[in-house]
Amino acid sequence: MQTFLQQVINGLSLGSIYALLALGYTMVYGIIKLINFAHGDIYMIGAFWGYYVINTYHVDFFVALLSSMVVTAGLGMLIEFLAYRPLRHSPRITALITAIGVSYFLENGMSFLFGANTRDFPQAVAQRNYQVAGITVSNIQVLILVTAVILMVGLQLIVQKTKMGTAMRAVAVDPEAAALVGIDPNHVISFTFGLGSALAGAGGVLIGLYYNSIDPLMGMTPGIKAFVAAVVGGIGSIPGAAIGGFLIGLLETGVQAIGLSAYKDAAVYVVLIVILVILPSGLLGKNVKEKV
Amino acid sequence: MPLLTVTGLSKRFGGLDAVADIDMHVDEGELVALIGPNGAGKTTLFNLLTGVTPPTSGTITLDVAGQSVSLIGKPPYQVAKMGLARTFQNIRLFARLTVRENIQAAMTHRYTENFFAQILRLPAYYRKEQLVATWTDALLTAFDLTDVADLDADNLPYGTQRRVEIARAVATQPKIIFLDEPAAGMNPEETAALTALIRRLRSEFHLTVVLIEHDMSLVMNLAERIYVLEHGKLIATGTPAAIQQDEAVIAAYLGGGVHA
Repeated sequence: MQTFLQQVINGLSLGSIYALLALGYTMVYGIIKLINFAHGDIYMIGAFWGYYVINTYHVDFFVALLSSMVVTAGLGMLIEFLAYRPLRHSPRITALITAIGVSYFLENGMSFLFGANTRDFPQAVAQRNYQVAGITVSNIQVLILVTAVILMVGLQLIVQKTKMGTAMRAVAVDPEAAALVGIDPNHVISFTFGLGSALAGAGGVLIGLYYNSIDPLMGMTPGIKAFVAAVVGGIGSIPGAAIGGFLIGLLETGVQAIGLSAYKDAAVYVVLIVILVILPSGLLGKNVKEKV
Repeated sequence: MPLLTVTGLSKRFGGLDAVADIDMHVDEGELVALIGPNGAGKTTLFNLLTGVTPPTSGTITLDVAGQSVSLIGKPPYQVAKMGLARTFQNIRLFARLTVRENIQAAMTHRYTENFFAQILRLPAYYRKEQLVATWTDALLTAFDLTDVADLDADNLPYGTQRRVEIARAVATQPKIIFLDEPAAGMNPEETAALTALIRRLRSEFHLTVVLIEHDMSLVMNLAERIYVLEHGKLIATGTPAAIQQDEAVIAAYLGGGVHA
């Protein structure tokens, strides 16, 4: 029982990071029907930014987190502007392949500029472990979970309560009708990329703190897992992405706990296959028929 | 100067002249109808006027405080900001948004404030938010939508969805509203209510109305001036009485089998 609860705690910490990433996938997909495969690399850049500012300027964790969110938001908007906007009226596959290209560009660009070696993420918050009823909980785990939940609640408020959020939802339903009521779709899409990328940047700093090591290819696997999380939750659904992220995190730690560490990635992909076969629209996804 | 002036407007899709060499104008406060058999190019013309499709050639100018401003090459959201709003033949509401949110989405461009003013809830935010709330409530009342304001738009009956769509177009605070077959699929009572509503668009909201409609009783009853389109060309223009007598119209349209 204790082992089980211990794994739930670990799974929630990891899952909250997947959830932050999955939100970016799902928002971008919801609005322009693009799987942004470069999203995991934004998370990597976020982690590197955190590494850089903590080591160079000795800022504390919150400054690193917030500045990383600002930087990745800007980067996400820049990528959208340079790489995806010119392809807005191209077939979806074109934009998808471009996203894969952007992903390789960021990974190899970072390797080229800063080297491909793994480095230690600075301990901006000293780790302390607490024993609660026989379970070990570290302050970093609590910090990750709390930060992630605050960001998700904030996102939900932006999407549901602000005019920009209303505009985002309107563009997601019908971009052309939204334009005809005076909403600039490019503005909304840019904002969506900024918002999603900021969450990925936050996830990058949090994972750096949790795993203590970062490298230019660190975004690949979590990126794909977060994509699976978004699909599990129902791609396009914001609450779905959050739930999917936590589920994938729990699954992964669960598989490790029963001694199948080598298969933890495989387990996630099996879930993707199963979901695509039996519940293609995901847990909370709407089964929307393609418009002709 | 007319409010909207169109000269030599053409749209060619491949080898097909969907709309050819249209000259038309709409005066301020007018109620103009655009009629013609199916496939005559009426919706294409609306798409050209609202910036959805770029024309092959021709000009569209809008009178903005005495200056003629060209609408050619402007993206739809700018055309909407300049005061042209529309509804669609097949209703296109923002499904999964409530009626209130549908209307508020259409006000976004009028009441934009700094994103940080929204997040930080600065006083400027509250002033604008108050305006949006007042204007939304006024529209909900005017279009008899108060009872359904917080329901998802896609769950409403057809006639109500039409009203939401018109209210959403009015929410952009347009000068001209283009209605694409507003009475399509409506029963006689709903059509009568719609006719009254369109009159109110002009009397209460001071809008200029251009509508496409196949329901001839509605057109003859409402319109002050009619343009008749066939095979992408204007074949007649005039008052309802004149159009009913027009040889070309009778031959091309009414004589050629009345389209419901």
